Amino acid sequence: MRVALFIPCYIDQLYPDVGFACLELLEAHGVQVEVPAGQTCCGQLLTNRGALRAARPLAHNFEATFAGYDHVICPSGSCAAALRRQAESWQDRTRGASTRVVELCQFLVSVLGTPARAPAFPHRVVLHESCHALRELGLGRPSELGPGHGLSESPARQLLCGVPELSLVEPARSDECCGFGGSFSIVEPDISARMGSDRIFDFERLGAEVVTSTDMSCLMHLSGLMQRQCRPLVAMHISQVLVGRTPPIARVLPRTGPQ
Amino acid sequence: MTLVQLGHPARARRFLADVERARFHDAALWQIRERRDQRAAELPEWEALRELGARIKAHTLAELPEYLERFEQNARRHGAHVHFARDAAEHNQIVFELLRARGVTRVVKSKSMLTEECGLNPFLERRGLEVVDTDLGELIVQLRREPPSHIVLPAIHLRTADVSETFSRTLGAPPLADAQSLTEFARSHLRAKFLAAQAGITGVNFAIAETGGIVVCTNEGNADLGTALPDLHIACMGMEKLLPRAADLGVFLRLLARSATGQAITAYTAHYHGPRPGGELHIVIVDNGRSALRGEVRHRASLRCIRCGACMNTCPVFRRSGGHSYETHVPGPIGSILAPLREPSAHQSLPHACTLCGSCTAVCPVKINLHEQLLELRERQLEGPALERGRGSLERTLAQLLGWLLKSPSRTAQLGAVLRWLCRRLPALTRYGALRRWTATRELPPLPAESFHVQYARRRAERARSPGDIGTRRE
Amino acid sequence: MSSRDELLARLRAQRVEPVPLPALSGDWITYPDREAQFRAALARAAGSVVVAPEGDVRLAVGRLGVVQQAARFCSLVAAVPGNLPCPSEPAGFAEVEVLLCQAEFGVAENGAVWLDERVAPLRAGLFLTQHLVLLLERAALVDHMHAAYARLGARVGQTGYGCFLCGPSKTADIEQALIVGAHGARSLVVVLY
Repeated sequence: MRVALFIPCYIDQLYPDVGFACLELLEAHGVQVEVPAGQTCCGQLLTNRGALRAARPLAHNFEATFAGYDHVICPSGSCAAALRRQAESWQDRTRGASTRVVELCQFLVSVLGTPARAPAFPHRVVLHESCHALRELGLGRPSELGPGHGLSESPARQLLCGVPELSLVEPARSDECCGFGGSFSIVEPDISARMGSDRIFDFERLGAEVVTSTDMSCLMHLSGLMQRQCRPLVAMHISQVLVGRTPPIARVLPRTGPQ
Repeated sequence: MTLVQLGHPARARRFLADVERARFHDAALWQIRERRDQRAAELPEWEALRELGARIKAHTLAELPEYLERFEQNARRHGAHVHFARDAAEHNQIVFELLRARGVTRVVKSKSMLTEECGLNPFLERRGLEVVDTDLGELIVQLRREPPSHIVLPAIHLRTADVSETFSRTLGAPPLADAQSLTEFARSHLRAKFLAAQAGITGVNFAIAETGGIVVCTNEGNADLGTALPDLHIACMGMEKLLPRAADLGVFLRLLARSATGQAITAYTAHYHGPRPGGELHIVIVDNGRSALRGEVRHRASLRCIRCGACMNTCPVFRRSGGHSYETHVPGPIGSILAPLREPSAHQSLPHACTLCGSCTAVCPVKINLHEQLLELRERQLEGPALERGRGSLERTLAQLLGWLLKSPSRTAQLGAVLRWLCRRLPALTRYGALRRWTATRELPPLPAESFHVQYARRRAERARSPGDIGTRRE
Repeated sequence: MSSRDELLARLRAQRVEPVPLPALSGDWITYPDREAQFRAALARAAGSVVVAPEGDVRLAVGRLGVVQQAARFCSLVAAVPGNLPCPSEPAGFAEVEVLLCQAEFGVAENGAVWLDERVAPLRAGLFLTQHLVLLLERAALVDHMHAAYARLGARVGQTGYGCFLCGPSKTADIEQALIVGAHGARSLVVVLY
């Protein structure tokens, strides 16, 4: 089984440790992963704005880079969903690698089957289920659906439940959007900030120490708000939780000096 | 409607400035969403009902001309008159003529988004008729001379104090502090209107082709009162309100109230076949862009809409911006599809008032792919027919440039390194332009000295020199 | 060409893939105790249920608080006289405090009952009365709306006015505060027998 790791562009540029945590996590499961050097971006920055034509070269590059792998692991629900959507819309020429993209947790739970024993993580953790992972990729049970939908708990949740000493808390609004939405965060900045702040408030009420997710993009937005508001809550990507990284320290004292 | 188009972001900002009101609005609508969840959970067949609802509507839209003719024939058999209006202007003219010919000056009207769409009230009022909206929420906004902010809960943007002030100012009511006494006041005010009315105008929730009947659902009984007393009943409907069979109502009546308000059924579900003895029933069937929408393969599904408002209640953006931020008569996710399709240049911000979270699609009782259509509208703005393109060629050019940059690993690496370096060296830069919209409320993400790929390449080189797992070494 | 013909021609000229009309069959919910479900659903809709002891509807109706306090109680049910003859004009019902009517059947799923013009020829009474009391046979309960329409059959299209009525008139338009008794009846009691 040939497995590749796709590193979303913002993880590459802003959160390299998440990439390394993914590698560690996969290696702990005995998976030899390749990180092809020619990879770039999934293009959702462009496709979510409707710029399909401009994103085409990125799709071609993706196909060329990841051809021949059985699974392309993606530590981001939104990138995985964007790549899958791309596969559906360009069936004629670029069907191939994009159809073999699998979100990280889904890979561990559904492809590998028996997740390895995770190191202890003695903290109160809340899982922010990303909208793309949940509703686009079908990884989990959206709160909107009535009974009988036949979906199982998200792989992320299943993995967290297996982490020793981890205390998983449930927000009042189980899967409301965090408000990042890509360009939405700057096109509708007021709503975006309000949505994120409301989410943080919900998490904090539960005494959560760490918010985790399959999506670093959601966490980037939430983290930005948490830090500005000096909340006692920190964000970690699920790969970082599952390999037992120490949570960062929250900067709770108000900042002095110019904002 | 609102005269000045500011766009959704600007209006949303204003809405959020009143923190308490915004918090109430969000909490109230979320509660209705939760009640919808409870009603859905009671029925193990909920998802099957949604699927049936979607397919019945899709079938009806496919065979629409046949069903329209069948409906017309059957309605006429019961003694109803059926009129067709190509657009809002013709609809208004037809309704006005019916009233004028009978010397009607006092009209009561129950909730009808179609009549909002056509601007019927101002049209009739300019011609000297008194039109009283009898749905309490609609009455309140009518008295305030503002549009409804939600298709099911027209006054959800208002607090009790606002209603009290409105009733005092416009109806001479004494100062009343609570919903109970305000409703009581409205009850007697409206009863007088019902009893004096010469005509009742209603909307139509469902029109049944097989029987020629129309169905109107309310909680207040205002449609029923408005049609039981005056002799003239005018029912206004969009042509997409048709259903093939009476039995189909079993599906839609189980879906509608549960989705709309979290009730199992509304207090009144009236079925009208023909006029009252001694009365008249006129049904006005309206196109006004619906046939054009039917011709759009990728947007046809939006005609399935039964105007339940569930998409609005669940939409995290709607809840925090309010219906008036959409600058169109039907707001929220469905409105953000319908308005830009009708007038692309006027509603460019609407497809972007969305995080693509997909919650709307998941609650829609007729399974309209709302968020996917919103994404398609964004594509249309950039790459659609020239007449409909908005956002200018600048964005298209920038997108092309970005696509060219990002397809190359080396260019991406260079661009990323430069941007990170700039933001680290000159943090003041991040307080301007697009970045300002981030940094106004959020700290920037970390700006590492080296990207993942740079570090990974170095570790691989190191591992080639000495063995060990790449991942286990920490920075 | 009239707008009608123009519209139909335009629709017919469009190419729309056919979608088959689905059969209305499904694994619909059924209630082991329809009456209990009906009572619970109606209570949620701010209505109430009273059981006539040994089927004596006259007694049960007479015991109702709203009836005892009503100076103007009209009945559309022959077996249970009111204290006032029913108005002959719709507007006359504005003076009625309590109206008694026969409901044809009830729906357990949601607590609604069906009535039509045959039991209420002057339909205005149903909405103008301050309080509404409906008689309903216990055996005349169906599980859900599909069963309701199956029971109605072709009759649904043969009566000028028919209504599923569920509880009294209500609104939550002012700050989502539920107010019972908007423009129609302030209360609704179903007397089961």
